[in-house]
Formats: sequence, C-alpha cells, structure tokens
Amino acid sequence: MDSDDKTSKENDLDNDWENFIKEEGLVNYNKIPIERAEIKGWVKIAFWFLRIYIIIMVVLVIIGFYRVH
Amino acid sequence: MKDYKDKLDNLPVDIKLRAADRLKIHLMRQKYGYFSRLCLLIALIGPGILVMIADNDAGGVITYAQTGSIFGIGFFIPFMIVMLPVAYIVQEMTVRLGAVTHRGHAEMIWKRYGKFWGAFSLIDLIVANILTLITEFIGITLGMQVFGVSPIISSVAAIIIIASIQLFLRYFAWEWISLSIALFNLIFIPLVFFVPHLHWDSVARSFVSWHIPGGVHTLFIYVVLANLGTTIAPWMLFFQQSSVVDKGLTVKDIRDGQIDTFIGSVFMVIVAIAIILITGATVYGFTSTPNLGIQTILSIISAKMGWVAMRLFALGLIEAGLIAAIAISASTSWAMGEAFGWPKSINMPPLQGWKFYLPGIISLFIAGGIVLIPNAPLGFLNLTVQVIATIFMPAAMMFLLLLLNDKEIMGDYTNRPWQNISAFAIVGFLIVMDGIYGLIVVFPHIFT
Repeated sequence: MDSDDKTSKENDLDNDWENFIKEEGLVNYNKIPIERAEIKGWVKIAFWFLRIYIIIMVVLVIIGFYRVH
Repeated sequence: MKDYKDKLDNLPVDIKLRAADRLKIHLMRQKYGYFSRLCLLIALIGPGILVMIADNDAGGVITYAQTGSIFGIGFFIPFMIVMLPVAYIVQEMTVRLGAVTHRGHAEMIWKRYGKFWGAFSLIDLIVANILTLITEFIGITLGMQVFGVSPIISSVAAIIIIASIQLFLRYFAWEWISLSIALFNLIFIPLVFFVPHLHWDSVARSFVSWHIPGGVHTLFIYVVLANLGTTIAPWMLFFQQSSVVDKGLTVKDIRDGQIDTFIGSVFMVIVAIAIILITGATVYGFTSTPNLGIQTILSIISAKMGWVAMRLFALGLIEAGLIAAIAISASTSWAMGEAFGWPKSINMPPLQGWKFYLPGIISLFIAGGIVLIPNAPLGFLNLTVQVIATIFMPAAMMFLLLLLNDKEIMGDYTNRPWQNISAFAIVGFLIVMDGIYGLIVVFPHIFT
C-alpha cells in the first residue's frame, strides 16, 4: 500500500481529456450555470435586515467621525 | 506528456497554465502512499496559509502590539485562541464555494443576487482594500525607518516589488514567492523567548481569569472590535475564494484546502499571541497613554529587549505590510475582473491581462502616495480600518451564508447544521459588538 510504483492507478487521461477539462471546470461552459436567485421567504427578510443594518451603521460611523473631529 | 502539451496548446494562455498545474495534481493523485499524499498536500496548500498570514498584516501587528501594550497579558490571550475557530469556520466556507463553483466571490454575488448587491459588495471591498493598503504602507514605511530608509524610498520600493510580483510571475510562482515572504511573519514567535521577566504562569492564569484591566470600558470595546476586524475581514473572503479558483482547486481538493486553512489559522493565532505577549510583557504598564504609537512601542521594546529584538520586530512589521499588500492588491484585481467579466487570472501575461492587473496596481499607487502626505492621521486611520472592516463583515458573511446554503449551486457541499450554527453565532457576535459600538458612539460615556 505504501509503495508508490506498484499501487499507481493506470493513467487514463489520454482517452479522457475532455472529462479532465470538464471536471476541473477549466473552461466557462463547464462551470455550474449561475442564474439570478429568487429572493423569497427568510432570504427576503435577511435582505431587509441587511438594508436596515447598513443604514444604521453608516449613520453611526458618520456620527463617530463627526465627534472625533 | 507530449500529447498533453499539444492538447494544452489549444487552450487560452491563462487556462493553459492552470491546466498544466492541474495536470500535475491529477497525475499525483493517481499514486498511493503517504509520501505521495504529502506531496499532493504540499502542492495544494497555499490560499489558506497565505490569507491567514496576510491577515496578520501591518495593521494587525500594530493592533496586536497596541492590545498587549494597553491590556497586558490577560483577556486577549484566550480571546485570540477563540479567534482560531472563528477564522477557520469563516474561511473554510470560501474553499468549498470556490472549489464547487470555480467562480470568485464577487462574481457569485453579482450573478446570483443582482447588480445592486454586486456593486455594493464591490465598492465596499475596494474602499476597504484601499484603506487597508494604506495601513500596510504605514507599516512598511515605519518599519523601514528603523533601518534608516526614508518613507519615500520604502514606499516606491514596495510598489515596485509588489507590482512586479503580480505582473511578472504566474500563479504557481506568485504563490510560492508570497508564501516565502509570509514565512518571515513567524519572526515574532522566537522573539517571545527573549522577553525578559515573561511569567508563563501569568499566561496560563489568563486562560482561567480572562482578566480585563480596568474592566469593560469604551477603549476595551474598541480594541475587541479592532481585533475582530483584523482576524476576519471582507477582503479575506474575496481573496481566498478567488485564489482557490485561480489555483484551480476542485471538489476533490476540498479536504486539502481545509487542512491548508487550518494550518494558516494556527499560524495566525500563534503569531498574534506572540505579539501580544511581547508587548504585554515589555510595554504594558510602562506608559499610561491609551494612544500608543508603534514608534513608542518599538522604542520601549528596544529599551527592554535590546536593539536586535526591536529590529527583528520592525522586520516583522515590514513583512506583514508587504505580504498583505500582495494579497489585498490581488483581491482587488480578482474582484474587479470577476464583477466585470474581464480576464481574471494571475496566469495572464501583463500585456494581455492589463485590465485585470490595473485596479490592483492603481490601489497600490493610491495607498503608497497617501502615506507620504505630511501630517496624515495615520494612527487614527489604522484602528478605523479595523472597525470599518468589522462593521461591514456581517454583510459579507450574509452573502457567504446564503451561497453556502444554496442547494442549487452547492449540491452536496452545502453547510452542515454545525457549520451554520457556528457561522450564525459569529455573525450574531459581530452584530452585538457593532451594536455596542453604536451605543458608545451615541452615548460616549456609557461604559466609563
């Protein structure tokens, strides 16, 4: 089991080049297609929370900078 | 290999170089045995160690040094141990996301959640990256001053070195040169053993007592936020995922990517603790000023430990700035390329990939120029960067968690329940800390 030579798998890349390229995701058309996600349920709530959080934090940072100077 | 060479030649140049690297990995994977397995791991490590070491950037070194100087050996020693799983849990998710999708973080947000959130994340990242780069140049110029080099020379030299590494090295060489520079980050560890009167029993006691000198007050909250900000930052998510993609890791490499990230997290925490120990044992109690500059800290280290130790500390500071500037400018380039669909690989030759390299190099020039402005409030800027990074981190984490729970994209590699619980706990902690920061802003004397 520890010997590298006798336990090497047979290299089948000669016949399987296309599969190698596909598995490796090397070219764009082989990658998982990404489409715009449908925003619904708890994800929608998370996005609203994020909007409110960002506004509050930006206001606080501005107040913080104003006080420092 | 000749047949493969013909096949590789048909691919675009950046993909050809990545395919050649991946072909070696593919052939290594065909072999069994412990030695082959170790070789495979060594070939696959990189993004995780690099991101974690780069996380101990100049701003981080200054923050840890100030932490030790102000609070001594107490709360922040066990706190940094807690930061190990925090950093690992957050960064490990980017390994899976990159390996499964073969796309960077900016591209994922842009394509999955639309232009508004894509642009928001990108602008947030670019602004934070430029601010952080300024702190790297602060570290580089301050450190070089110890060796008698003027800020203008060190700033220009740093820009030339970083831009050359980016432009003229291809991914494999870029990664190994960066890792070699990162090795110098460990310089802080042996220094600990030369700290006079360092009581290891008080280090051990800190894990029991979590002692906070002066109790919870405004400065303490600020320093906790700054330490959080330097441990997990938005640029790290973008950097590691893009790096995983550019290196070409696939689902088969996730386990090695996780080991890589874990090794990096361990190094990061050990170095952070070493810096806190050095300054906690030498500088703490020496002066009561809360706004300790790094020059003051260096001169106290020199007085207590000698000039060799002080110079080694300064060397660590320079290295920290250099390695982080390499990583951050690369993350800017990758993110811009991913968002706008430009070529996005360090394997691109400079002329062919000028659009990809340009944003990173422009950010280097901006940061390198700002530090040379006389009387710029650099010390204030350093802590502000960490605080801003902490405030925007929950937003970056939310996108990461949404993507990692997206069955359509991640398939069998979505987050397991314990990963979600841990990640949500981290986001919750960040939001609570940000809330406390907000309270301090509105009611400045609430904790005094």
